[in-house]
Amino acid sequence: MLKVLVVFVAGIILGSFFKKFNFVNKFSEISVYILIAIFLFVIGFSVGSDDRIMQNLNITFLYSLIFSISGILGSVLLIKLILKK
Amino acid sequence: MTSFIFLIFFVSGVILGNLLRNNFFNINFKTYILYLLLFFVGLQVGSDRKFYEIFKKLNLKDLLFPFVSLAGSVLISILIFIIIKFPLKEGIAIVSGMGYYSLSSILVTEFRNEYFGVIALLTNLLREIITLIFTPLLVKIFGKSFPVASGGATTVDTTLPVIIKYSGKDFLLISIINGFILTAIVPFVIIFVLSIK
Repeated sequence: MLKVLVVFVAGIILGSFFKKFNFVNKFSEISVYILIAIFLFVIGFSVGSDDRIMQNLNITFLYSLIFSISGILGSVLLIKLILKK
Repeated sequence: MTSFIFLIFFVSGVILGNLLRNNFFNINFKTYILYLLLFFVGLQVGSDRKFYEIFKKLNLKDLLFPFVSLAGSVLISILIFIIIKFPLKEGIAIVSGMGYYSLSSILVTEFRNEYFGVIALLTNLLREIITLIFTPLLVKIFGKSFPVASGGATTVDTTLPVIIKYSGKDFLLISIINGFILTAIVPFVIIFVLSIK
C-alpha cells in the first residue's frame, strides 16, 4: 500500500514542476479518465463473473443507499455544528 | 456526462463478465493500472495552477470545511456500521470516498475485494446523484452550505454548477477548495484506513 502512496506523491511533486505547462495538466486529466474507464470495466467484469455478488445486488444497493445518506447527513450536521455555515 | 460514460464501462464489464465467466484480468494487470492511475491523479493535482492560486486566498474556516465534512461523514456512519454490524474499517474506507466514486471503488477493490468495491462505487455515486437531484429541496432545510457538504470531492467539478445556482457565488471559492482538498486526501485516507492492522 505504501508503494501506491509513493507513486501518488511522486505524481504531485512532479506535477508541481509543470504548473506553467497547461498541456501536462490536460494530458494527465485525459489519462485519468481513460484509466478510470478501463479500471471500472475490469472491476465490472470481476463483479459480473462473481455469483455471490450478483445474487446479493439488492442488499448491496441498500447498504450503499444507507451509507450515502449517513455520509451526507454527517457532513452537513458537523459543518453546521462546528463551522456554523 | 462523465459519470454516465463511466457507468456504461462498469455495466458493460458486469454484463460481459457475467456472460463470459472467465477471469481474463489477473491481479498484476489491475495493480499496474492502479499505479498509473494514481500517478496521473497526482500529476493532475500537482500541475493544476488553480490549486496554488486558491491556496493564496485561503482562510482557516474555509480550509477546515473539507476536514470537518470528512469527519462528520465518518462519525455518523460509524454509528450505522455498529448498528447494522457492517465491518468497520471497510465501512470507514467506503464513506471516506466522499463522492469520489471512481478512485474509491478502485482502491477498495484493490485492497479488499469486489464486494466492498461495488458498495464503494454505489455509495459514492449516490452521494453525487443525491446532491445533484435534491439540492433544490434540501438547501431550504439545511441552508446554503448543504450541497458543498453533501457533494464532497465532487464540488470542484460535477456538482459545482448546482452549488452556484442554489447557494450563490459566495460559495464558489469554498466549494472549489473543498473539492480540491478532498480529491487530494481521499486516496491517503482510504489507503491508511485499509492498512490498519
